[in-house]
Amino acid sequence: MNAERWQRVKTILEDAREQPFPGRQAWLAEACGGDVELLHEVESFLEHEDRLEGFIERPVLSFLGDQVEAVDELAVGRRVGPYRLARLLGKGGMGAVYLAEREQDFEQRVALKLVRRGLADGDAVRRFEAERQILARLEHPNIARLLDGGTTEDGTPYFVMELVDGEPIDRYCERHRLGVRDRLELCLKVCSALEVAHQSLVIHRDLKPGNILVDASGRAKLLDFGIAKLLRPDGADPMATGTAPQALTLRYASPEQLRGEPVGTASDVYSLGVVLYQLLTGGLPCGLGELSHFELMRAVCEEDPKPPSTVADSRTVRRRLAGDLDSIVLKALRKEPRRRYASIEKLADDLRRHLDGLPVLARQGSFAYRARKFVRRHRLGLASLTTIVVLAVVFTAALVRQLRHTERQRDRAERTATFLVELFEAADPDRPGGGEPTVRELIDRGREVLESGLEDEPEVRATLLVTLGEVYTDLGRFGEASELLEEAVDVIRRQRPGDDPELAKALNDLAAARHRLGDFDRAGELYRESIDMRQRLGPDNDLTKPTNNLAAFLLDHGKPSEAAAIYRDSLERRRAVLASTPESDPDYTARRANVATSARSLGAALLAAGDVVGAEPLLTEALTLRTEIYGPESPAVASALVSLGRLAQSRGEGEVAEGMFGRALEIRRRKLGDAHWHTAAAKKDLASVLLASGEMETARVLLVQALATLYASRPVDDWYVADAESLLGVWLAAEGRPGEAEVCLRQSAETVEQQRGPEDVYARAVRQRLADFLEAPGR
Amino acid sequence: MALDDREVTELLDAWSAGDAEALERLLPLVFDDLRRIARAFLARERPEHTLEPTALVHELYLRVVGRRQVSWENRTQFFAGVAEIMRRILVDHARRHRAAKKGGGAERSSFDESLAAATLWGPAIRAIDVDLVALDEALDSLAAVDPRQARIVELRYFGGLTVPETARTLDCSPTTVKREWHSARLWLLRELGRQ
Repeated sequence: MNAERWQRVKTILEDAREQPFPGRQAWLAEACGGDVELLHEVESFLEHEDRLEGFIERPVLSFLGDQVEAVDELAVGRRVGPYRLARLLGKGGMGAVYLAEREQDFEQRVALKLVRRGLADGDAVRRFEAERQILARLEHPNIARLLDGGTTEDGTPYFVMELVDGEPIDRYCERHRLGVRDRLELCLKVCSALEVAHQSLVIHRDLKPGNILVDASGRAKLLDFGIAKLLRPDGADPMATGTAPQALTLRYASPEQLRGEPVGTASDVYSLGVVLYQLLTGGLPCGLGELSHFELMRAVCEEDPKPPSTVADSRTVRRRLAGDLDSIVLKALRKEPRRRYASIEKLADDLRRHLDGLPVLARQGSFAYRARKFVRRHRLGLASLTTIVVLAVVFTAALVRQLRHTERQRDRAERTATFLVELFEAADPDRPGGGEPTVRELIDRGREVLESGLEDEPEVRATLLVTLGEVYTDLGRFGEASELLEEAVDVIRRQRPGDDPELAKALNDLAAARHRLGDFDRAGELYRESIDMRQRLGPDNDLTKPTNNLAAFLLDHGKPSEAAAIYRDSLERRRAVLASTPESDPDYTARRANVATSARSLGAALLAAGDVVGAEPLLTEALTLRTEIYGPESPAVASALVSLGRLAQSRGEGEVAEGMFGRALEIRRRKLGDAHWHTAAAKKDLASVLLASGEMETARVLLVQALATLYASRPVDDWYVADAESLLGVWLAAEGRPGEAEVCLRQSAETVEQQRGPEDVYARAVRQRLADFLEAPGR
Repeated sequence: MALDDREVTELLDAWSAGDAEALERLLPLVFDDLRRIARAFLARERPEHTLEPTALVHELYLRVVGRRQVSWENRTQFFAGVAEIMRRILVDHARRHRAAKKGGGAERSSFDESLAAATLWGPAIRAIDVDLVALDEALDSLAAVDPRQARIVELRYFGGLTVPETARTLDCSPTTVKREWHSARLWLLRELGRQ
């Protein structure tokens, strides 16, 4: 056939390929255009079509890939000592493993491992010799027994092992669709084998599913201590860097192995952790993706594995893994050997504890670890590395004990405590929980640590109790805060009877918690006790915070006169401090601002007590001072304006009040934004004036806007929202919708009273609105 | 590395310029290196990965010319060269193997000695499911009517190139390569059936 003819034929052949078979014959005849000879030629090619599949499709080079197999296959049939190699079973780190039969003595089938030809350099022979010695020492039902060993005629070392007719553990688990519990039970068997090996000072060093076979009866057998070396009793590794990286299966190797560092039993803990990870999730700690040697090194040595519960496919398994098993596996997989389980036995213990439903140690010990990670993740500016370390240290009871004899122990504890408060204040308590610990989780864990530990360190314990109490208060969990603080007070009283600054602080904190819980009597007592104690302790103690707390409490509690007395006291002291401060003093402005704050607080208290005349100069003074200090457009000025507005309102000077509230609203809108709840508060105040003056439509718009903001920023059933809703009730009543108005007013009154107590100013205000409505003429 | 980079490159250049003798001198050099690389692959112990034929060629390429800035043109020449080299090595080996079987006192070439020394090639070649000598002849007859199709077969089968790599080497579209590959194989099958 000439070239021209072939061009025609092959075009038809190539097109024919696309033709549907039934009509192809007709198509061919047409394509050949009646040229019968051409048609015959085309058909002479097409008749070979059925042999096309597979023909030279596999590149000849790919057969090279079979060489490993092929070379090892060459040995099949060969005699090695008293054995004949029957079949190639597989290839290990150093040699090929064959199914072999003992010929002369008795029929026995064994696994025979032969160092691969070409690889039997001096090193391999030495390692091989080591393997024989090691295996001979190990006796365990879950370890493949060493039966024999020797050297072939051409000097190739070999050894003979018990034949394990099984499949790799991962495949076994998949094929039998084992549940999590069964998989763990299987791993526990492996653990017990490893424990025995470790007790004999043997490290496996090459744990991977291919070396853990499971036979038909479900028994796991550990194979191939191929690169295990004798661990000398002194712990030194005789061949520290002797493990050739290519002999390891990188994805199961520990970071220290990859770095060529000395390898101990912790390395096996790691590798077993990888196997565990794989059996539980189907994935691997460094992922399943294709990685270069370098990338793999980096992943193993630097990247923290994802928690198993985030990797598993099935939702049920994810839920099963979250918590205990995540902690256990991740503890086994820590980068630093000393932070892993101290032994396989400890790992096995935790797995058993988990299976028995007991708390696992991995989670307890990891609090400090996780706290540190949390801080690192959030990169809080305030968290210097030292502080973080101190935090971690103090929260692990064991390490706190190490600090006992250092003089600065108390300093450290206190610094830690302060740090913790800052840490928790800086973090958003409502951040949704993910893989990392949430703030709540962290402090709950801290609380557990405090409950169980530190009994012999009462001073540190007390400090931490107070700290955690403050944190719980900040989170709005007043019940827990109160319990911790109650205990803190007890501990401190026992340790240091009499007046004590720390006790005063704890009493104040406890009072605040009781206050919020509605336990007004106790709160009042505690506040007073704290303040009295501070006063006796001397001038160094700043009374502002506790006294202001007490005063605010009294004000809320319907005792404005008592609050006023405290504020007056505080104001006088602050005035005195200011008087003795020269204007050049850097603190001068701050002290002036303090006077303004006390003046406003006292003014507000007097106003609540009905002393309008006494309140006015104070509130005016506060406004003047703040305008000078912060400028006329500041939020501080806005707050002063609101107080003055309320004063005007109580005098019945609606227009003046309206002006004050209006200006406050303007400032807040500009400085804080329309969505800030302080802005909403100003709208609410302005609306209440407008309701009284009959500007119903403007009032309604403001109220609706205020409520939209409050609904978004405050919790459901919040007293402040309820207060605004009661104003809406007033509007509804004025609009002639008494039914809706009554519901609104009644529910608001109920909510506010429930949350703030019947004596509270807000409670009285909403009750008053309800009463006004109910007593209104025409009802 | 035992291989003299410059020598290999020069031989490749000479060969691609039409100097048939250059290939003769190139073969033992490159073969030796292929063998070494193949052993390196074995030593790497990657049971989970089968040896990718092009990976082997790429590695050879990197070792021979990869360290210099080489244009794609040279690279394709190189692949084409390797494909032809492989064809000659393997067919030669198969021919000698056949001759030895028939009892004729086959003389040993330097290739054959290398093959024997490697011990890796024997079983690999035995495993090949095609009569390489017959295929070689059929390929020659195809080259007589359609040189490009013969080249495609050489690149794909002996060079281990993928369809896109082949297309780039021959500066045509992958679709063309696929079509030609199909009809070329039909040609070869018919030709083999006649022998």
